[in-house]
Amino acid sequence: MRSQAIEAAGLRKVFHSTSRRPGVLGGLRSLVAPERVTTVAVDDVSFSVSEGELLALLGPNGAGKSTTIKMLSGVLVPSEGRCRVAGQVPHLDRRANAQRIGAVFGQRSQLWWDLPALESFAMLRDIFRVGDDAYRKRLDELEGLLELSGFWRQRPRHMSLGQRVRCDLAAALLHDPAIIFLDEPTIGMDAVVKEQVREFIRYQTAERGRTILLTTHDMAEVSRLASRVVLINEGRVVYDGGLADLQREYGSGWKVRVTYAPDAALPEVSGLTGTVGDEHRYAGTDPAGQRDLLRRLLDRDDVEDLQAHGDDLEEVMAEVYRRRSAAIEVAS
Amino acid sequence: MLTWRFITLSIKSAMEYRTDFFLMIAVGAIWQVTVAVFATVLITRFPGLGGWESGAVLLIVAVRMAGHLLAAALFMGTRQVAGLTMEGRIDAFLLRPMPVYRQVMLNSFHVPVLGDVVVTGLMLATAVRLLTLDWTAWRIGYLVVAVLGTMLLEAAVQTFLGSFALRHPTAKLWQEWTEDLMATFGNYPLHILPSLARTVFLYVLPIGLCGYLPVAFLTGNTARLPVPVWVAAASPAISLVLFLASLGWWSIQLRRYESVGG
Amino acid sequence: MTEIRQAWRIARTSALYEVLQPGRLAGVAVQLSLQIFLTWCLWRALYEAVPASGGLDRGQAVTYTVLGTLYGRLRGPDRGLARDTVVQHVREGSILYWYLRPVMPRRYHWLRAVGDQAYGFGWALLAYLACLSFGLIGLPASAAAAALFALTLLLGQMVLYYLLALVDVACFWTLQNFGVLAIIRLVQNLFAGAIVPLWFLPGWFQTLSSWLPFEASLHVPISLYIGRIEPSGAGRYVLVQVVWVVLLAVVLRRFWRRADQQVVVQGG
Repeated sequence: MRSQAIEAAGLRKVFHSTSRRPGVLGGLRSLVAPERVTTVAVDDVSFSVSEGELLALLGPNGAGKSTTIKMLSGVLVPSEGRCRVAGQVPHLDRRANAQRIGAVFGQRSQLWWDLPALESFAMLRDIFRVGDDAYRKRLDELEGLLELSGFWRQRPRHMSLGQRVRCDLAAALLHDPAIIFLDEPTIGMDAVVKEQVREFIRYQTAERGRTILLTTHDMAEVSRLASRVVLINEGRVVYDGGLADLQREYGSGWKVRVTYAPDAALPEVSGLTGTVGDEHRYAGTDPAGQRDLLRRLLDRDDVEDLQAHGDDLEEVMAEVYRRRSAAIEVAS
Repeated sequence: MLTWRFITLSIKSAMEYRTDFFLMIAVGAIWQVTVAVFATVLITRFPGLGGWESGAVLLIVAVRMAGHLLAAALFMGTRQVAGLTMEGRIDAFLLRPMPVYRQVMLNSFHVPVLGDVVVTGLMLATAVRLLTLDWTAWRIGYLVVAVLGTMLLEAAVQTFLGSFALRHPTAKLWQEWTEDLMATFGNYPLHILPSLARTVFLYVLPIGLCGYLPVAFLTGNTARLPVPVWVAAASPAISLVLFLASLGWWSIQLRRYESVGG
Repeated sequence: MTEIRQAWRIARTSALYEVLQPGRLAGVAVQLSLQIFLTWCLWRALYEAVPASGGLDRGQAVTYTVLGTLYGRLRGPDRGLARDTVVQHVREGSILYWYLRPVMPRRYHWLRAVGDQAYGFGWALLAYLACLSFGLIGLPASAAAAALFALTLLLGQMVLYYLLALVDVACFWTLQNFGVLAIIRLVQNLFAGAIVPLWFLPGWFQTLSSWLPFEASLHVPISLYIGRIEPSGAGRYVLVQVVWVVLLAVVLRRFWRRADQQVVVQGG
């Protein structure tokens, strides 16, 4: 059995802050006697990631994804619970932990903003004490995968988002970590760069055997990269399993929309749910049925327009949350 | 009305970090006390500076402080242009139906100013008392005008330099440096300096227009003036002209503004 | 070997910001020269009327104030422009990367500060030599004075480092530290004598200043240099400096420990 690269058990994180009372008088009172507010960012999160696996962490904003990843990477200390990365507790020895992991937090760069990216890479090479030969080899490889040489002499302040994140990805991998944390790495990018980054991520896990924990909002990304997902909502895990199982349990199946040419003879297929104007809509739960229908439609020459949808992952997730809160209501 | 709303919003957001808020007021107060102590040193250790009586020298310091106070209260935004540009906030300002310059000025309120006011007032009062002048309505009016002129000159310098900051954030370093220079060298009757330094402060970085020239005219200390008396008398007007010119320069630079990458 | 290389790379970062942009270097040179020249002019002029004041003759006063203008360089280049101050990292959340590197944040911070101050000192040294060669300032009062000057300067820089480091680390939980920074900078400048030589200020001011850590960084070293403080009388000052260094070092260690436990990262 493959060992667990990342383990989270009963993780909980509580933040304390002060809040200001509304209004002018309230503002003055808050100056001398502020209100203390406790926020439970993560309530009870447990899951694990095996070596060489890519796990996607999904959830709405504020669900606790980022906080979880910060705890697992050792940046935050959990209020309760246990986590292990490569068998060690990350925050107890951050220096050793740093050699084992790499991280890219989408909105924040680790590059030195006013230095050419190559300088940042050289800095990190020395900070992580990577040998010159290994460094050159890795940089070559990363350059080939991410096409950095066009702009790696520029400063991040002059780069576009896509360029900067690609440099950040390279920076995170210079010391060849076995485990990588990615917090919304493709957010805000255009489609072409997104695809390049995704291919890069897939390569790292499929060909190089790295363990990757990825948080994302992007459903296309999830279905492309992850075979296993963990859904988090309101600080708790609401689903932990394979993507295919998720779709089967909570999905509403496939949909196909067809617009036939006028006077076309309608095919005899099951699954017709209705018509909206010129559009005929078919739906079903068995993927084989969708393939069958599509094959038959594509053979015809009187189909004017054809749209096929897999399960809309947004809807699947919404369904998961809905059922989960319903279950909680029933239980309480 | 909108301006008032901006100011109160800025103060409110500054109050969010309450310790910091009080500290910034304290900074203002401490700074003013510093300058006041320094001014006292000046007139007690170096009496008869440049042939001027103590009250007149003190008045230079007081007028400069008062003008600086107003400039800090209303035009502090000029020092923040570099930061705003780096954060991309200028882009947002360009999309709003208010002149960008005004938005930059209103962007935040320089809290230390609140601590400045008392000490500045005291300085002015002391200087006025020390001087044996007949304070007619004209004189008082001219004093006010001199303070406003100081404010306008500081605003002009910082606006001019701040315009560069729209495209070169390093301008910020030059802004800080000239601010230092103006604060350090603006308190003296400039004719005591050798001609090269005097030229710098009258024609290159014209802080002479701030406290020195108007006060020289006001107190009648025109004996060793390096410029004609009418220039000294008109110095607030010259400051106004420079300020308007700096606004023009700002518009030119703003038109050539390019946003930051990414 | 890699240890040294690592330390060197980290320390030279701020210097690199300035060196890689030749316009910046030229700008610094121009600013420094102008400021020294103007200060020199001013204090010679002030002394036209009065031969000695506050116990300083003209030569001493000019040396004091000119060396004082070099003081501003000692903190190193502006990191705010490069978005590389601690408070900026805390606000943007990029501070978390400090905890993902095999260098302790407090060591990284220390190396950066050392690098900054060493770079600033380099500039100050160049300017000092230039001033000496142009005859703008005088030589140290004696060999002993020179040695004590160097010692107290070093201790003074350590005090300065600790003060600024405390403010930096405090922003981990205050999130906004402009007020504190402004106060420290101001009080530092004031009590260090950078605004006006402390010798000119009233007695109560000087007494107050002698109990604070600030005059250690500029006023004491320079006063030893110009001979205003005799080498024999330096012992008390050095003692005060050492006490402050130890005290501040202990507090800073505590601060770092707390900050490590409580990394607050802005944003989701």
